[in-house]
Amino acid sequence: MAAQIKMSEEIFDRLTELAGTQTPFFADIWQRSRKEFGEEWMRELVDNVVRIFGTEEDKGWEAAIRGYAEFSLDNMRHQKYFEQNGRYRWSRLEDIQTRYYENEEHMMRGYLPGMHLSHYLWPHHFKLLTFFRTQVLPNLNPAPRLFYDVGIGTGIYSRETLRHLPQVHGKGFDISRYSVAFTRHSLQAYDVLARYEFVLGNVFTMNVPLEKADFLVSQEVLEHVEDPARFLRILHDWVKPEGRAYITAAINAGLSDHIYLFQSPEEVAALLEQAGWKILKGHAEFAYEGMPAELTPAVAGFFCQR
Amino acid sequence: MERTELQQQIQEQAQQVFREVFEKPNLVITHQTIAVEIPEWDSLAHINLIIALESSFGIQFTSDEVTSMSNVGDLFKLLEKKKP
Repeated sequence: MAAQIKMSEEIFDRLTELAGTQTPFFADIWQRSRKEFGEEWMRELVDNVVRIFGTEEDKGWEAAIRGYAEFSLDNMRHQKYFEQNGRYRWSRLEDIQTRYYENEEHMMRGYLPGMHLSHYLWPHHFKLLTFFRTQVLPNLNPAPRLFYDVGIGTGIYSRETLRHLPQVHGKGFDISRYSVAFTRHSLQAYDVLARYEFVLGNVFTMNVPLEKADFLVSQEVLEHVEDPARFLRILHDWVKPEGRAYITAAINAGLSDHIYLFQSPEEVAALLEQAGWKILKGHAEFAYEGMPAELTPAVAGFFCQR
Repeated sequence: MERTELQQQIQEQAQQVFREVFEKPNLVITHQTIAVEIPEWDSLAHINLIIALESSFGIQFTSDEVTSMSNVGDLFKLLEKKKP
């Protein structure tokens, strides 16, 4: 055990060293987050990097670090655009589908590796993940048999669900084949892929799944769709009566493929209720301090019941 | 324009941008200036600086250029290469 801890520390130190030399202005977050979240967080991050990105020798760590910096840069550029214009750069799916979701270099080099690491490195993302682990998954009673993840992204919430609930089977839906590929790799790396299948497509145009789910996750997807109210009604229809869901949204947060602007957690909550969801618990986290709330990126998560 | 004259012009224009972004009217930057010498130069300030430089010089930096930049010397070289 002591040797394992020492090895994690050595790998983390090497990762921060690489971040410092390769992406100097995007490196301080590694140590800042370790200071905020502690040694268990550090060991989990290291385990994650090794499982998902491989070794330093095959350039996996460098790819992870550069991916994170590119993702952060993209985020910051679009946040500046939002601050200056009061709106996101794009507003329609057709604006972003070819440009981003079908763009292998964009998705596999920066977007997916960066977004994946942001779940650990960005404090507001890690706190939302912690809320899911501590307030949502342990409170799924009876334990779900089938869950859907709609808009899998990097697959981290599917992975958490599969690991926490050893009997559950999952189905992940996404519009990007690269999200499917990244998630497949991630679930394989955690040895939970056998209990999961994928559906590639747009939920607005696909047939209703034959079986309704006991539990549904949709993590930071609402801001990626043109009509989130209709999206929430679709999700509502895909879950069994009294089934549960965990639905989150990014608020006032510029990113290349955010097309629907939510301006407060209350706005998301109201839309959920209008779609028929009963909110059991809610949680919001802001990315940083020092800016007016209406210009500060935030995430809000809601544990709901149909 | 002579190369040294161009370099000097770039340095002066960039220095003006630095002064505005960091709100330090007397800030002096050289090829040797590194980020730790300007305590406010974190990732957020870096993107403000990049956007202000792009606007001032009428250029666009690539993601690779922005993420791997580590000092003012790197920045001057890029500005020299990219200036229309």
